[in-house]
Amino acid sequence: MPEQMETVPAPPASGGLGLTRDYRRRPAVEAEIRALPAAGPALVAALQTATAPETLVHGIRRLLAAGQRAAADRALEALLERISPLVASIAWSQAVVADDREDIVQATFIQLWREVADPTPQHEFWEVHFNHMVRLACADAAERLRQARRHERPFYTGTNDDGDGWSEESTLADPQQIESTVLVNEALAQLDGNVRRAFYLKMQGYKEKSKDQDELTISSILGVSDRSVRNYLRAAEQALSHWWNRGLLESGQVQA
Amino acid sequence: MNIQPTNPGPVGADDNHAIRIAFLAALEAGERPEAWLRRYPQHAPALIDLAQAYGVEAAAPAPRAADIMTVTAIGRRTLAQAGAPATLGLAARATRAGLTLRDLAARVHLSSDILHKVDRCIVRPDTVPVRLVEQLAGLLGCTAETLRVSLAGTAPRTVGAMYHAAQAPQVGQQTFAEAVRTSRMISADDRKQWLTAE
Repeated sequence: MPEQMETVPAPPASGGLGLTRDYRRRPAVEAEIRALPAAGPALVAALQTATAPETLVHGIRRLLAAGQRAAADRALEALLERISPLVASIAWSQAVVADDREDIVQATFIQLWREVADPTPQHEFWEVHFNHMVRLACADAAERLRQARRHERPFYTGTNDDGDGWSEESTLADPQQIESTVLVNEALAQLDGNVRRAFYLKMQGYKEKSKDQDELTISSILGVSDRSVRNYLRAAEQALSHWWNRGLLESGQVQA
Repeated sequence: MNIQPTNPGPVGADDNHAIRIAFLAALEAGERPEAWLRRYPQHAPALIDLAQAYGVEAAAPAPRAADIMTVTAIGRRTLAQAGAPATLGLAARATRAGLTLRDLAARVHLSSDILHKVDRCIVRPDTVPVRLVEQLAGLLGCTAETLRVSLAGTAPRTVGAMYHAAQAPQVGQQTFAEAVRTSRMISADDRKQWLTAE
């Protein structure tokens, strides 16, 4: 645990603008929350023009605590309008297939609405680092999606009337049609678990093994043997053969 | 290398959660992941996944207006469900999602009479397939658990139902498979698919 994260518990609702723990908001957010009117129509109006989502979350919780459900609903609507581009950016970074992205967005919003309306301490961080909480929610939703996919059936294969081999996989979207800017992202999305992680680390320049005991390698990071790493990378290479052949190398983003 | 997060995360209840938040704050501050991977090897898979997604997000162009509209629509649908009482039924949830039971039925390859029975607890809730609940929850913008609570009940809910008879008929319960088998509205293909899946 990093030292600065070892915080001193504070009594509920003292200092910290309603936070029960000694979290530190960004100064701009802190200032915006301090400038909010205490309650009533003035608070509702101020929330409509608040810039930080953390401020809106704080205000929504204040309104809910005061029993002003209708006003809280209006603030939630304002929060939605404010964060849609952010959620799109983050969810789009987690998946490349449109349906997957929408599933991730839905799961993220379900969690977000539930936790934003819940003032218990374990959900206070929505008031402190809203964007990162969205990132975690999207990452968790994407991981659940990947777990579910592990139980899906493999592609059907067979032979057509002319005796030629046929695979259901060949009916999927042609990787050549994908924009080069998302080529690596699309390629990584074809991989799963440690195969994807090993490939990503390779792309980031980590070595498979090193004579230097102190150097971080793919095997030491993933906690597996060098041989396992080679197997992961070989599996990645096989899975990405279409992408290798169709320009991933030429994209300059992956080294041979 | 400074591995202290610029804005510390919550500590105590869930270290994994706290470390991931602090790691994201560090990435945002321009740190490289190495020190974090060294210090928290047990969280390496989660940290690598976050770093990868963060890199993609940082490099991606701003989302298109159409994408933002899609996200807003999903957000609005889920927000409507979030404020719904736990006991809100299927038809009412569909209305909140801007759908009719007929729309909903078509999307899950069932007929509306069966969903009416599910909504009114004429179909025993414990016989409704998990897959159907998950599909409906996905379309309505709520969790499967929430929908399960909505559908729960031990007796048919017939209050408000219209009858062409002097006396309300006695309504018994049936299983989901029986409802599918006896429906006159469902297509043969859909009937076969749901009965096979059972």
